[in-house]
Amino acid sequence: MTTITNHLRRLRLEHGELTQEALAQKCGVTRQTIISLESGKYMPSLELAFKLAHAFGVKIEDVFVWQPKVARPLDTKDTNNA
Amino acid sequence: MLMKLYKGGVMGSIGTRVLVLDIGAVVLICAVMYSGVLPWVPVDNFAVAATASVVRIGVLIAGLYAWAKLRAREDDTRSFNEQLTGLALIFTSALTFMFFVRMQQMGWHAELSDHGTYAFARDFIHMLIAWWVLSSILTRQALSKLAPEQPLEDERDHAIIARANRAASELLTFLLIAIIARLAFADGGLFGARESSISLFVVTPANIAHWLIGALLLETLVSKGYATWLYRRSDVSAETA
Repeated sequence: MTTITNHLRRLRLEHGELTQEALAQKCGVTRQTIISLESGKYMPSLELAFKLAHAFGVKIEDVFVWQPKVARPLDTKDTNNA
Repeated sequence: MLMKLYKGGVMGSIGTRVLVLDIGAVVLICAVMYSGVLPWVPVDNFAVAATASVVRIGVLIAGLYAWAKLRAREDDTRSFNEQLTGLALIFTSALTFMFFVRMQQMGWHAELSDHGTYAFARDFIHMLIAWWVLSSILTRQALSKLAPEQPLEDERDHAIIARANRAASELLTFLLIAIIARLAFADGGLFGARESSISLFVVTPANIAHWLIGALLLETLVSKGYATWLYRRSDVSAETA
């Protein structure tokens, strides 16, 4: 499961309800790729990520959010026994 | 007539059941005719040619059904490449089925001088030409509908195709190794008996050719099948390409 989410749908709505078709044309991809991106089923290349950010006039981190997996705390049982 | 119905969008409203029935009927006809279970339908030259024609036309119709149905959807969530890959899977499945069932009956060493083999090869090539014509027409139609700056395929398509091709090439490698191993154990091969009374089995050039064609067909089938599955699952990353 991917740990990168995006705000494409929200950004589209904020930018005058930009259609998926219009965004796809701006970025030079198919509408189906935008659909896959919005549903979190496709991880874009770095170039496409930049294109999407550029299309909305925002930084790349405003479009994509990386959520690192929460590291499990060290096994306290072992440390206690030591 | 068929194109008139297609253009009129009539086929698009027929639905999935007709499509499934159509494909199922084609496969069933093919299986029955080739299997030889019907004694009054001998697998002679005429039967081979007739069956191949039925399969060819049936698959073509099934392809058009599938295409018309998918295109008729208002909210078309499938890309052109995804739809074309689905059609290619139908065609490849039919070709592979035809090839393997017929080859199994002919013992994998049919010569082109045989009229039945010649008819089968002719129909096989007809299927390939039909696919090439159909895919060319559909691609041209799709291109004409697109805006100038809109691509027909993009990095997601490339990623999926690359992943499917990688899996298919791995299968092809395995199949080639299997063929090499079989040749090694053939009469006169690396481990086969040479000029002795103990003959394992004889391999003819026709055998090798048919095995290689079969391997290529299986590779294509896996490539198209896996790509179709990846499109449906659509859980792909550009980094996997």
